Amino acid sequence: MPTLTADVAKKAARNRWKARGYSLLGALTLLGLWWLASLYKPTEFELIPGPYEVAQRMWGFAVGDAARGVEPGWVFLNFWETFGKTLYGFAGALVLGVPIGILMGRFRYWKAFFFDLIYITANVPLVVYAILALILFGLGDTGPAVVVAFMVLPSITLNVAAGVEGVDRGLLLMSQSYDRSTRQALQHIVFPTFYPFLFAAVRNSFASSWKLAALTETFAGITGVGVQIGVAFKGFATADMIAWMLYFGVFVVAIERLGLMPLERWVFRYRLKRGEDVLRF
Amino acid sequence: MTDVDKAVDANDGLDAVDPVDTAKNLEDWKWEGGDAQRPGTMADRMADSMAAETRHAAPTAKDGNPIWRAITSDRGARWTSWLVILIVWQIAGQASEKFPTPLGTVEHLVKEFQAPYHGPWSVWNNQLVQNIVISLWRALAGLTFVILIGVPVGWAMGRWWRVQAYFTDGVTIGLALPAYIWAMLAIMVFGFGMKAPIFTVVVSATPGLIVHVLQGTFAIPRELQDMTHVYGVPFQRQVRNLTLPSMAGQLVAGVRLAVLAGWGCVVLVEWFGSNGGVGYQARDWYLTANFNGLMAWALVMIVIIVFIDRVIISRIDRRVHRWRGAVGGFGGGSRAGQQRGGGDAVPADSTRD
Repeated sequence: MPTLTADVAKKAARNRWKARGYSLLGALTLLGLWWLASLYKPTEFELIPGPYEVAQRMWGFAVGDAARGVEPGWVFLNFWETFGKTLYGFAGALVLGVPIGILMGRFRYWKAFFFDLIYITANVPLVVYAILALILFGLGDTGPAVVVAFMVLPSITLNVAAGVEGVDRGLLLMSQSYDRSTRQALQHIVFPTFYPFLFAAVRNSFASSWKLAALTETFAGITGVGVQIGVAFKGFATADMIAWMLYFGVFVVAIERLGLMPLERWVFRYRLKRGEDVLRF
Repeated sequence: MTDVDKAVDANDGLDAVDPVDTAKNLEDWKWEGGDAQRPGTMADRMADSMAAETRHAAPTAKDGNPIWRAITSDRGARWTSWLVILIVWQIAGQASEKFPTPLGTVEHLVKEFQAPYHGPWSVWNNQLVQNIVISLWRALAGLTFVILIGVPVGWAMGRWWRVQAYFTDGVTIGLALPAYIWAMLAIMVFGFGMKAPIFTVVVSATPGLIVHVLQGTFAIPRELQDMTHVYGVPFQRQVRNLTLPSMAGQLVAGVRLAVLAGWGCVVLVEWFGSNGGVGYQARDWYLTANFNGLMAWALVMIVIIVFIDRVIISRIDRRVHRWRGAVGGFGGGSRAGQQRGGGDAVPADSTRD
């Protein structure tokens, strides 16, 4: 029934526009609430800056603000530092987590052995990680990277373990009977089983790992976004803090949408071709 | 198509013109908020599977040595891991000047327990217990608001597409903003007292809960919803017999996530500026360069959240799921059953703050 389909399509398109309108309305409501809150002045200090002022600060952080001594590209410089630490942390977590996950998925003893440890690292409040970094490594770049590794570890380990547990034992037996080497079995049977799980783990913990990296920098860092936020906090510069916070949102959403999701689609494109959904796992 | 898309399409089954555009944005929420998952779920499942294995494992008479069997048993493995952790910690503490040892940490906790809070000492009135009570009270107050806001909003988002479109942006941004900046801002604006922790907990924990509740509403079978409509089932009965049971799993998952985030927020606020509580004590000992004290209070933070998660929420969770199991999740063939199915191997902890 072509007419009906066309009608439905038209109506759906119209409704899509409507939904966009409601979305916009929601965003405007948030801005309005913020603006109202900025009018609230319990003391003579201007505690909550308005949206316009913060937008100006954000612009200044991006293109430079000579009046306030901000270099051009300041925000990119700082986020790059933090991003670097997050990446080091992820690398560490992968190096530690994948073997542990394989052990946990394969041997019952190691599952029981690592279980409590993994469970606790998954439930430690972020501030405790920051404190630990402060005590263990003092000021510097090592602390943030190490605690990010620890925070990401449980997610990676558990997902790899689940993937390894899901490995088709029949295929393993077959590879044995056809005299394939262990390396080949790993490469063609075990790893492909847990790749999707690993990706899921990485994407799941990405946003929180970045938050932790910044928090740890505030506690014990010398470079990065966290340090800038800490400086703003000490100087009661609320406009700067909100500007950094919003940049945080922008960068996290941008990296997930523009970096991780396309990458995942690309890695699992063979699944897309089969008509399966990549993001199911 | 993601699960969310499917769920939305399933909801659209009888009303094909509902816009699915917001669902495109929601595509990622499966990731950010988790699909039928919660932190510790994988852990729970592993714990359950281990328990089941222990129950069903026939004792092997071949490994005759009882000591070796005890060491290689699950319990033996757990004790070994704890022993290894403690030994490594003790060695690390003795090697470094600043890093506290487990013994020193425990000693400090005992000292805190022996110090009176206000007036004469009692089991109730000492530094350790009173500070924990202060923090718990703040977390509870904040979480009450989180649940009061998050559950209705999430449900409404699942029920009406207009509401969903309206709140989508706010929730997406809310998930991405770090809690600790909220904590700092709240302290500057509200000062000490209850307002700052409550504000921080609400702002940081609500988006995660909303996402979970929203996904819970996708698990309400559309056929049954229409049937209740046709037969004019009163709203209260609908909620009790259809809505709550379908959403229960996601609801518990969301609350669990909210509790984890909420406790983290309270501790953060107390660290950055407060007049009492666990985080404040940790900060206090840090400023006096007493690392045993700092570690002791950090340990308290961990122990409390693990206790709440393992002892309280886990139990509720298991209860809820046992109930669902008995009903069979409305049958594996129904949409609800399918919703519970695929792709739930991922713990969603990205809304941790």
